[in-house]
Amino acid sequence: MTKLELFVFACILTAAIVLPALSQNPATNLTGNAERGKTLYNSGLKCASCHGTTGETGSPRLVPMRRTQTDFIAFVQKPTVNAMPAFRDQSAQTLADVYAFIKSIPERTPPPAQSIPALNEVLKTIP
Amino acid sequence: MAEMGLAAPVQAAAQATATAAASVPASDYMVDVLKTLNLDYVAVNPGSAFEGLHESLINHGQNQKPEMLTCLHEEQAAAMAHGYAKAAGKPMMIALHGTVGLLHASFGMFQAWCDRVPMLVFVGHNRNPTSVVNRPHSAQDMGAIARDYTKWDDEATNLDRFAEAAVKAYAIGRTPPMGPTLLVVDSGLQNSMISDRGRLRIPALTMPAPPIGDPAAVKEAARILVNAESPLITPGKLARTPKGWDLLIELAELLQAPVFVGTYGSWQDFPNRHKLNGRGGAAYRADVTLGLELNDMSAAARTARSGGGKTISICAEYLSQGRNIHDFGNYSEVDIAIAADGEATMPSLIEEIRKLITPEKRRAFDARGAKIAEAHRTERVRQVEEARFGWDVSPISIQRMIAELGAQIKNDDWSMGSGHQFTGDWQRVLLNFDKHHRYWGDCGGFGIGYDTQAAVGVALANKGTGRVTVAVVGDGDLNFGPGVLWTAAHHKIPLLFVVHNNRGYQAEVMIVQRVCSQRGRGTQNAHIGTTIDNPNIDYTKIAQGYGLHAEGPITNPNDLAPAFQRALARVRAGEPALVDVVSQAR
Repeated sequence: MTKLELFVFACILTAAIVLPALSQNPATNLTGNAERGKTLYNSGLKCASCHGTTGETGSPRLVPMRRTQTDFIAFVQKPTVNAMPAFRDQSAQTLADVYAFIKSIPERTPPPAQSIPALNEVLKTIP
Repeated sequence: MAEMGLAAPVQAAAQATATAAASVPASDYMVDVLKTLNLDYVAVNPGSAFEGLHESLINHGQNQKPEMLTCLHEEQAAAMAHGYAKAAGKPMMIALHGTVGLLHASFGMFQAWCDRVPMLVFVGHNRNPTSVVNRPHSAQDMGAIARDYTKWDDEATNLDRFAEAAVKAYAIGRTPPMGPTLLVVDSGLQNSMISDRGRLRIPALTMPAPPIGDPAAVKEAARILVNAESPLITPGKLARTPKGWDLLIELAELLQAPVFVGTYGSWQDFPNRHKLNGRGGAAYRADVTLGLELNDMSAAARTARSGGGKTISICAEYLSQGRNIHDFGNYSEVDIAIAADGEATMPSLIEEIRKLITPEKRRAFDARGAKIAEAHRTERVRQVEEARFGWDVSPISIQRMIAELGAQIKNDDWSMGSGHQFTGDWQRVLLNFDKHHRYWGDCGGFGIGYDTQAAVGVALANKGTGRVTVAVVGDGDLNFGPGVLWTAAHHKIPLLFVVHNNRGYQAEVMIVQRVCSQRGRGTQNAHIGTTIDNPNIDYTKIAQGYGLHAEGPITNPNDLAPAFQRALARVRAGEPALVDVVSQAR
């Protein structure tokens, strides 16, 4: 097999794998309502129970949100991790609202633990 | 026959006086028996079925050894006894009314049973009820009510038998595997008068030595551990005493093997800042796992068998598997099973290992230990760096709540009376458990209501030692037994309650969501039945009402440190105090 044939074969193989996956997550471009999303996040869907009210204190952290809106909706409706329940009964628009809220939370890089007195005390005890 | 020269009424009075002088209440003798068991406290909520004992404890016994603790609920009495026994290293007695008192106490007894902790339970029993009120408080078989989570029970029908049963109950309860023991005592027997007190003797208490592992099996276990490439030690409810703590350090350092203390259910057993604490790092694959008082090694055994590894179990629970409750765990296909107490067997295991270590092995072990230490440090630092995210948010992060508390007690000899079930393991990450008495583990049976009430028992054991007792208790937990705050105030038991007030049963939210999800409906409704708000509960007012210094609700994280400082000043002066912290869910 020539290099060109190899390249064409690889492209076909990649397309065979990737295209169906993409077709499962068709790109969405919904306008999210961050205010409604905040209420859903904290009270309705209770995302805050695991991820914290600002997406920073729980596990995993949601801020900064690196997923696209499409990926986020697909993941929340059908998570690929066992720890998270599937919110498959929630509409794309509802999850777009939650996404808009999460994206509205400003990303803050906290200072290093060493500069926070209470955490620096903890660091001092680690051998 | 009437004596000559005395009028009948005078004669009767003289006879009564003479009888009274010669006779004593049987419950006085019962107290004499109990005093030989070196019990410091008896926790009660008063009940007529043990009124005879009650009177004898406070008058004949002068309310000393045991001293009576007034509880506002029998579950509180049992939970306090649970925490106290772990911290004091000896049982507390609780006294209960027939049926109703025992039923109220049952949950606390169940938790202690699951946690392998002793307590001496005395149940008064009115065997001949005469009123509509007393009849439900009598039973065909009183002990049956709590038999599924008591190690042994008996009903004394005469005083000789009472004395034997009391001493036996104490000894059985304290012999590994430990657990609550229960004495049912007829009210009539308590209230009967005895004129032959001198005839009644009290059996001497002889505590059985805890079971030590078979020498040949221990020798084989040592051989396997010394020849292992990557051994792992996993203790469960192991270090009952500081000696057990020291022995586990010695064992781990001898082998240079990591010690994974586990998550829920285990006691602390091993310092969390020790360089060998943990699983040994991400790349560490145990080929031999040693379980010490770990009553279910089935998963570890399956993994080991599939990968050619081995597992060794040293556990007293082979000697007693309980009855009904499934807390005894699954059958574990381990390679060596030793029916013995882990703490008592460690000296012989250490001795056998020491004999087998050659200089070449020593060098290999040391190299292994250096890698584990590096992995430990990396992981610990990573965890602390994680804690800084959301440092300034409100509701306050659990990480900040724990770290700020730790900073305030770093110069104290402190002791944590609550478990860590609802703080996401942050206590084990952010507090330095460098001594045996720093942390006493979780509730045992994973039922809510332990932390607040058992912490008072821990604080009682710590009272007078100079230790500062702290407890981080969930709002859900506090609501199961807030009356214990009054007991702490009334008996001047110093400790700091930090209320992890996340206004809900947050661990349950996701569980309900999961069911909604499986059924494809209503994931937005999971907050119904799982939140504690509207109205928000004011724990500061509740605590103040019970007589405590209390502050909160604290919503600004910058207010935490000053609130802790003020509350701890009261605790160091000998009072209980409470700080209500509005916190993130998990």
